[in-house]
Amino acid sequence: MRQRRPSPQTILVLRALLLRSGEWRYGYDLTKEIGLQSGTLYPVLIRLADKGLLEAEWRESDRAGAPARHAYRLTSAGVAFALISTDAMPRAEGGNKPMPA
Amino acid sequence: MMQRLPHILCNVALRLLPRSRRSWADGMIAELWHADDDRAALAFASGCLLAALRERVRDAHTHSIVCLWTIAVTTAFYAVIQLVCAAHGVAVLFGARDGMRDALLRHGASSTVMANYDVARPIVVGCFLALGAAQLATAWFLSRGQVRLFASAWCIALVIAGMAVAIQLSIVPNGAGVPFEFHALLMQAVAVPALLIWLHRRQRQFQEW
Repeated sequence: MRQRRPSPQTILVLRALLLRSGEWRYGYDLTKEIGLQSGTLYPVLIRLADKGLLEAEWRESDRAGAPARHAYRLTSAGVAFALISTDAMPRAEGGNKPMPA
Repeated sequence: MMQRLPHILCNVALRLLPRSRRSWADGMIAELWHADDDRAALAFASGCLLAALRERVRDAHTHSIVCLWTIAVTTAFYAVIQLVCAAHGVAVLFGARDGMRDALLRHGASSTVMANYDVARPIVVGCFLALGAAQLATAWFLSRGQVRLFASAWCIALVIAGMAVAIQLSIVPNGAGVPFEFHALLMQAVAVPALLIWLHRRQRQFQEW
């Protein structure tokens, strides 16, 4: 089937994940960082995971008594896809700004 | 309450998400522990509920269940119509007024046609009964996802509907309008398989995507 162009929201998520592609990221932190609502973020993450572009893992929380967190990062295929997609799409105004490593 | 509401919303999201997505809902619930304040947690949880709803709407399995039930309910509706007709036919056999017979007499049907009609009437009523029962069985098996039993009941219903149409046409070949069973036959023969094939293809497209 023909590959559909990623949505602007997907591009924002890909950019955020690409900035620190080696690190595990969390849903709540991503909503704050990107400025997307969780109702938009999670469907994008689920779609990326379905396509094998995102891997998920349970990681211990640094907060005492809190349950393990579901963490996400791009796979190597995801990094390649993000590089192509984010290059093809102009940067959204006020969107994702580079974060210090 | 303000602290409990986000957890309630996320638990609703957990139940709403398809089974294959449950780990995502667990992840959403875990994130509530890291929200900056109650308002942020509530906003986050509301979004999670929306995400779960979107996933449920997108879910191919949910689509197929809804489509199967729609076809099953439509078939059951037709079955009820057949059974109502059968009940009317039984009443006619026991002496109630027969509108069709009156119409044939008004249109000047010959005594041979009327004799054939009277002979065939119990058979046609039986066909109505059998067709209604077979269609009810079709709907039942479809709603339970029992494809082989559905196919068997569907074939039986098709044969009965064909018989009913053939009998009626043999008696009054030029009667006014098409016999009612013709529509049931058409639905059985074309609409149901067409819908099921469409559903099957759609499911495959979802899986490929």
